[in-house]
Amino acid sequence: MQSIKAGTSRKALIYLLLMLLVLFFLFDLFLGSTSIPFSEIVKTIVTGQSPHPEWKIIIFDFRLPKALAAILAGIALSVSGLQMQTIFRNPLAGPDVLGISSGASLGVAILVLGMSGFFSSNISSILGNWAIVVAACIGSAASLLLVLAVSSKVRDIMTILIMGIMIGAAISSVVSILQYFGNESLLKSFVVWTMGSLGHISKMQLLVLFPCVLSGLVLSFLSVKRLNALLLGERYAMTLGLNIKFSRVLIFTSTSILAGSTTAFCGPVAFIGIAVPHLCRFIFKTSDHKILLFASMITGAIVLLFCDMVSQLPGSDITIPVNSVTALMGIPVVVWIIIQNQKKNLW
Amino acid sequence: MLKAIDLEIGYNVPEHHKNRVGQKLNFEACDGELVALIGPNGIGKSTLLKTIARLLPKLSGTLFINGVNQDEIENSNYAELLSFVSTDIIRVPNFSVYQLVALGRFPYTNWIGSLTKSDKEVIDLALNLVGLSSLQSKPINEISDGERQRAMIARALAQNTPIIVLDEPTAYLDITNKYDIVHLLGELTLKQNKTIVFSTHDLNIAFSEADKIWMMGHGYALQGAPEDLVLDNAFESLFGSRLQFEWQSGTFKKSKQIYYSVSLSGNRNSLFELTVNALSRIGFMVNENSGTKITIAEKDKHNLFILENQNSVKEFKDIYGLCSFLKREKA
Repeated sequence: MQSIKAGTSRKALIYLLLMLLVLFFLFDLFLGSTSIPFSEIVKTIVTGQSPHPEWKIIIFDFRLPKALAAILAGIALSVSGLQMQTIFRNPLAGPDVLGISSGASLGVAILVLGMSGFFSSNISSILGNWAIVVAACIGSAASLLLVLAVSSKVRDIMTILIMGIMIGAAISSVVSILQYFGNESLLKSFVVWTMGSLGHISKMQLLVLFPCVLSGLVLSFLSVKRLNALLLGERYAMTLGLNIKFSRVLIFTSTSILAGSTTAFCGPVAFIGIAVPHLCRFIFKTSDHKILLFASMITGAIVLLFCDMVSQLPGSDITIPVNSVTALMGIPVVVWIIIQNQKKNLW
Repeated sequence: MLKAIDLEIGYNVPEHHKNRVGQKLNFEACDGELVALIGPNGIGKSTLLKTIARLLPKLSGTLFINGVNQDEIENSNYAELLSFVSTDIIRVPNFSVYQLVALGRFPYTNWIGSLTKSDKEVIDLALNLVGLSSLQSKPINEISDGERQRAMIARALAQNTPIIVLDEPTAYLDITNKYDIVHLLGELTLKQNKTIVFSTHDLNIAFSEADKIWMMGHGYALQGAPEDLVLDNAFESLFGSRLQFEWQSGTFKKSKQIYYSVSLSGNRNSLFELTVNALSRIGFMVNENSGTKITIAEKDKHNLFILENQNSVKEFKDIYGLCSFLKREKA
């Protein structure tokens, strides 16, 4: 009986979140330096036409790509955080904590600052976009593999976490060195990139980001059962017949693609990956990945849309980097997790 | 059915140096048997169980699972033959008992792990057998250690394997829960005809509940009914002569050094036996010829212990007063 009841309320929650997502999506389109009436926005999107050509440009070339980027990035970061928390059996694991985002930064830094000769200073060609994604994914996969190599030697989770932070710091300093030698105009574009921005994403880049996030999600869906078994720890999972090596490859590939591709275009957006899965566990009161994966996707998109709206400082012409908004909103959640775990002696 | 022939276990330490735990082990457990694995700390009980569960590779020898060589069984099929309960404590938040037990169905469910009607029946049966049906929706962090151990056993049952291996299932449990858990395992061997092997440090539980004991000692290993091993003096040789088997109660007791003697008189009732017990604990043996005399009497419906020797007579209200005085004075 109880499980049926829980099932219905979970479904209701999912619908509620989906509605919230649509609402936030429209609100995000509504906000900006040019004020466009809400009804006009809906009309323009539905019909593809607008009485004011400049509104059409603003909506289709700026606001829509940005809102879609927020949704894609929110989904990708939350799912990668969820997967990492389970595989590392650590509530504080996330793409930005274990050096995955820094790894992606290094990949991009090497590409942008180091090999700029191969690409024009303005990396807008589709080849350039793919190159950035590949560089970021390779970078994040490399740092993930490094953390994984450490975690196979060391069982203690705190040690792994500290090693992850160290790896992240080491990578960041390599990035600084690259910055030091980089040429000035490239440097500026790189620095802007590191601040994390959803606004600079182009339609072409979205066309690259979308299949990346989609393929990462497909891999996550294929890993749901494995992730549930990994809740028991690797030892139990093995006695259940789980192929640990293959599962790791699957989950890490998915995590690298999700975190890497997002970081490639939006810069390192912090704390979404840690905070959203916890928010979902708290709201849905479950640890079943079948539910958590869906919930994290929707909640992640909602949270990043919300952060994007806040970053535009509604009512003003100023836009602050979205990264600082996600940090300010995510840090209290992380502090709350630490206190909760201390209290309940979890994980 | 589980059979080890000349099995060598241990950790493979890098560089042609193998850290062998013991010697060649020959053990067997038949269908419907509850086997207790005993041995001193560090002898390799966990290593043996992990080797059987295939979490560690064996160094040499053969291990037969239901008559088939372990090497010839695929990992995915192995999970349908043998389930394992380790000492790891699962502390995942928002993880219900039902969800934990349902994970036992892992080898049988589809790619996303959805439970069919028959899966749910197996889970319900497992929860029923361990007596946790009423707690199935509770998070595992909010149940007691004994209940959590039951949940872990239910998970192994849901895996529906003919063999279950448990590493110290009674660790962290109080005495009632210890007996309950081992009793439950015994019931499962009877009702479900399972082969169950568990390691324990509790000789009394092993002796009273297990059909067979696998004993690992330094340089030797034995197996047999608990009584067979008692007749062979195996327990004494394993734990030294300080551990003695008491024939009447069928329990093991660490024998105490005797330093002094006293004589004890009074009605031969339970109070008398308890007093003897208390005296032996502090190193006094009851001897009729001793100069020191204790008389158990009754005064105003209260017990009274009268202690006499050459010089003095003292009275005590309870055993505690008597013993603490004797311990101080050393008679």
